[in-house]
Formats: sequence, C-alpha cells, structure tokens
Amino acid sequence: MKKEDLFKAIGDVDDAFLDENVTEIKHDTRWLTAVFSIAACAVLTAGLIHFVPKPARQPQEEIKVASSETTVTTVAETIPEFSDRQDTIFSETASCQVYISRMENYAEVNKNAPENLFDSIPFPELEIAVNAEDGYVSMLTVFDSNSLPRVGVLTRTDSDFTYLCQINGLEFTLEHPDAETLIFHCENHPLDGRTLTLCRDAVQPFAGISDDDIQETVVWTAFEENQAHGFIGQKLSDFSDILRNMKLYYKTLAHESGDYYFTVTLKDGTTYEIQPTQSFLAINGGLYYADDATRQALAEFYQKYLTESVTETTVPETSETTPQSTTSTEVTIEGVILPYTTTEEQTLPEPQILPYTTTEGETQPQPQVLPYTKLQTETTTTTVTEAVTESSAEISEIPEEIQNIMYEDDTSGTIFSRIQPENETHIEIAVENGCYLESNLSSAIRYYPEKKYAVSMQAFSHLLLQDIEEELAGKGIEILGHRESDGRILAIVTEEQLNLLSQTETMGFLIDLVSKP
Amino acid sequence: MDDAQIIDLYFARSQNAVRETEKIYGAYCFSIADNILHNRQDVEECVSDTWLRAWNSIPPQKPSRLKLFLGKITRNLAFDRYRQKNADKRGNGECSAVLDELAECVASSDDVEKSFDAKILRQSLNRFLKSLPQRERQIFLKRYFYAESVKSIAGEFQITANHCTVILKRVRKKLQAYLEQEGFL
Repeated sequence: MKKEDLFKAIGDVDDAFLDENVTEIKHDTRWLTAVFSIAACAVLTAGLIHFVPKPARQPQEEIKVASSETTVTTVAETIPEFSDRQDTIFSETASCQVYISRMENYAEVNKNAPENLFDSIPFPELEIAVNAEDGYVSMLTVFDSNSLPRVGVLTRTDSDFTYLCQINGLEFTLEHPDAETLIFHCENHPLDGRTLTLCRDAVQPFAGISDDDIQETVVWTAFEENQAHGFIGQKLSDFSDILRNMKLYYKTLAHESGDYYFTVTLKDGTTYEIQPTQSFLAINGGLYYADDATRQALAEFYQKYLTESVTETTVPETSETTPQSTTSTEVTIEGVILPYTTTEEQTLPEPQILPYTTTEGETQPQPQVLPYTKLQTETTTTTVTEAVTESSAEISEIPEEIQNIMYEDDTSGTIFSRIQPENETHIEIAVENGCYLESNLSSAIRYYPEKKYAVSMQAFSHLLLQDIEEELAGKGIEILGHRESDGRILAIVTEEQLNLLSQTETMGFLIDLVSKP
Repeated sequence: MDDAQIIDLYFARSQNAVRETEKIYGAYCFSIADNILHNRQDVEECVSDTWLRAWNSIPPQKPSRLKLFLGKITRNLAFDRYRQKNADKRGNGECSAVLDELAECVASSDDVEKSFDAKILRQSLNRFLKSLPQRERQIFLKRYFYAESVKSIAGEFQITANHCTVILKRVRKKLQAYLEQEGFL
C-alpha cells in the first residue's frame, strides 16, 4: 500500500465521522473545565500566597473538619507503596487532559546526598508532568529548599521517548519507554539511573464522574465550621452554587492556614483533598496541570459563574495566631518567584534590575537568563519607529507592530521592548524564542520613560483585569494595556508606585517584570 | 434552500441546482481544495469540476448529506490534480506534509504494491476511526481528510500546535499497528 492509497481511502470514510461536531467534544470535557475553573478561582483568590513560605498550620482544632466521618484519602493510603518508595511517582491518565504526577517525601531520598551537592536545589520534591492524553512527559519541576518550584519544560529529543531539560544549569534526562516507566537521569543526583514507576491506576480521583455526578452527587465539604454549615451534606443541583460556596471556602482556608485546599466528597463517601496552586490542581497529591486552553476555559467559566469579586468575600475572624495572609503577595521578576510578605518582621526585597542593550551599539549586559528559563540562542530584532504615548491607556494606542507581538503571538516568546530615554518615539523589540516557565505565556515589555518603571503583571483571570486596571488607575498608574491571551497587564509606574504595588493587598496578579528606569 | 430542495433541483435537471449548490457550499469546497492545492486557479477549476461531477452524479445518486458528498468529490478531484502536478517533484503545502505523515503509517509495508481491496480498506478505516476517542478521530480527519494545517486544528480544538502534533503522531502509530493487524501491511 502506498501513502496515496491511504489518503484516498481516508477520503472515503463514513459520513458520520465527518459530521461530528467539534463543540460536542468540548461539552464532554465540561466537567473537567469546571474542575480546573475551581483552581483558577483559588488562584484568583489567593494564588500568590501559595509560594510564600507557609506559616505553620494552625492547630488542628482551628481547622475543623465539618464532618468527622469524612475521610480524606491521602496519597499514602491510596498507594500503599508510596510511603516507603520514594522512587515511585504516580499518574492517572484516564480522564484528564493534562496531568502532573508528583513525588513527595523526596528528602528521604536526598538525605544521603552531600549537603552542597546542588547548591540551590536540594531536591526535596520533584514533579514530572505527563500529558494524560498522549502519555508524553512535558514538564519537570523540582523544589528547592524553600519549596519554591523550579520548572523546566521537557524537550523531546530525536527519540520519541527521551526528554531533556535544564534547571539551574543541571541537565535532566527522562526516558519514557512506556506509559508506566520513567528512567531518571541527572548526574550526581541520588536518583540518577533509577526507574520511576508511574502507577496509572493508583489515583483516579475524578475518573468516571460525569456532569450528572457533579450536579447531583458531589458535595463540597468545607473545613471551617462557620462557613461550611450551610452546605455540608447538601446535594447541590446548581454547580454555580457550589462555586459560590467554594469561593468563601477558599478564602477561609487561605486565611486560616496560609494554605488552600478543599475536599470533594462523593456520594459514596469518598473524599478527595484538592489543593489548587498557581497552575495546577492537586488532588490527593497528584497535580493536574491547567494548559493554555484550560486557562482560557477557566477564565470564561469564572466570568460566567463568579461575577463577584473575590476580594469582596468576607473573611471570618480568626485566631490571633492566624497569619495575615491577605497582606501577603509575591513578586516574580523574569520568572523568578520572590516571595515575601509585608508583615513587619520581613524585609521586602529590592526589585530586580534587568540589564538591556541600547540601539547606539553600546553594549550592555544581556538580559538575564534565569536558571530555569531555557532560552534558545536565536534572537531577532525589529525596530519600530511608531510612537507610544506615555500616557496611553488603551491597547489601540500601542503601535500595531508591537500589538501583534504582544497580543497575538503567544508563541513568539519573551518580548523585550523599550523606548529610548532620549527619544521616546523609538522602540526596539527583541523577541527571543525559547521555553518558558509554565508554557509559552511569558512575555514582558521594558519601557523606559524617565524615572519610571515598566511593570508587567500577570493577572490570573480576565475577569479581574478590569478590576485590577481600575484599581491601578485609581492609584494614578498609567496602564499601557493588557494582553488578551493571558491577561498580562503592562503599566508604567514611578518608584513610589512600584513600592505601592509591591505592598498592595490587591489579589489576582503577579508582578513578573520590572524594567530599569 | 436546504439540501433536499437542492437535490430536487438536480433531479429536475434545473440549472439552478449548481447555482444554489455553489452559493451554499462553494466556500466549503473551496477551502478543501485550497488546503490541498494552494493555488487559486487550480482550486477554482477543481471546485468547478466538483459542480460538474455533482451534476453528472445526481441523479442517479441521492446523497443524504450533500455537503459531505460534495466535500469528498472536491477532495478526490483536488488530490488527483495535486498528483498530476506533483508527479515529479515534491509539492508544497499541507498535502505534501499530510502525505509524508501518512507514509509513516505504511512504512512497514514490505511491498508497496501489495494488493488490497479498497472497499475492505475503507471498512477497516471506518472501524479504526470508530475505535478512536472522538477528539482524536476529529483531529485525525481534520488533518488527513480536510488536510487542514496543524496550527488551524490546534486553534479549533484549543490546544497547542505541539500537542496537536503529538496527538496526530500517536494516532498514526495506532493506525499503522491497525493496518498491520488487518493485513494491509
């Protein structure tokens, strides 16, 4: 048989297959979208705090489990071998579009390694992303001693089943010869050469749950008594009701413990602990990754069901020892997450100053390549001569060529642009293609009006964009615009405003790049 | 005007049949041909041939889904035209890429001239497609029936192009294994 024969034969397939409607597929994954939407809800509510060093959990009695009969199925319980097999990670591939498996208790493995083996990455934890739909590995995350994630996007090699990535200069190789096996390679790493077994069936938290289940048999259980009594044990017929309650719940937990999690209890009594983080939804310790499409769906879902601002949620009074998490925030500069809180005991780190190159040929240090951002060498430079008005507040006032890059081309990678201090009508753009922390969303603009900073802020939801922009405008901050694809806000701020932003209690965005004035 | 009314026009041998067909399905057929040929003149000729082929086929045929009926005619005509124009050289555009990808599925065939019954192959393909998850099936057909670009498909399904490529690769592997199992390779 020749390829042409096959092509012709495909042209003769049953009409029924050609007649299928794509939208029906989207409908099939609606429940999944909803689940991920919850993660976005949490992120919107308090996503940044996740990466702040977590305060000690409140005494158990302060985080009351509303139903004492509820059993949270822990990872160790679900996977008997997990507790004593640090080389076991688990994965579930049946029902989710994208999946991240996670290895915990890594310190146990690591304790035999020399202390300074990996200066900043002692590998207390490691996560490996596995795309459930096609089984390919996609992302590797290691956590440093502060539990900060260092994410590396795994690049496939010529071999279908070998992946590479670099994190902090260390090269990781994962062989993925079959759906259940990963062979981990990292020179001098305690796990070098070890086989990691993906236990596919170990955790299937949502497998087999249909939309009907979500509407009729899923009961969201809250931990905080005052907030939970209204709906514990209640069968909710309207999913939006669940989410509205979820909102309260997230806020409560975030405030209580500096950590966010909730449980979902099914009709049969099975309970799952779910912890949303910035991009993932952890279910019983297994992390589900929200890809770009999911993020978009999350934003739409959020807009549909949670029209009230999360900041309006009333947070109940807590004990005196409760950390003031509402004043916590996090700054990410060029992908580096610099957590801090504005509590008096802690010092606010200085914004990171990023070098740049001028157009006069004067060589300045190259933009800093951060450890876990794998940048390729190819760089293209485009010169745009259109003007950007410093006071621009609308996207349409940004030169079209920049808009095209900023707002339409998600794959082009990090965007560096600036306006010459002495000539604000000249803009230089350099697009560097490369891999990014958490997919290809990272982009930034550097804008150099006199004594001002350009900041790029990653909003977690399109819904909050307007609120955030209004809030920023209320502080006298000039907003260049926002990017539709990921809700990134670009703004011009003075140093004073920058400090204000860093300390603001506004939730829902990350400052991820600050220009040099 | 709906399909039944248009088909009635064909049966009545009314010239309006072609006009109405073109009005409703012209863009659809054009896009199919364009995916394969990437040449406006060729595409227009191909679509015109489609109307002629439909005129000659109806009656006696009475397609239940006129759109798909026309789409298949267009695809076949476009592919024939593509092959004529690319007999001695590799062409550009999606069709070349699509064929190259499909070549992976038949790569294990020791004898490319191995005889097979096209009808049985079609039936096998239908069974194979039925066995696929719906989304994989649709992505597969978008690529290998309509010859749409990976980027376009990815956009439609709200996935990344890379993800789409990976899905297609997996399906091709499945198809190869299936064809071997069915004795076509």
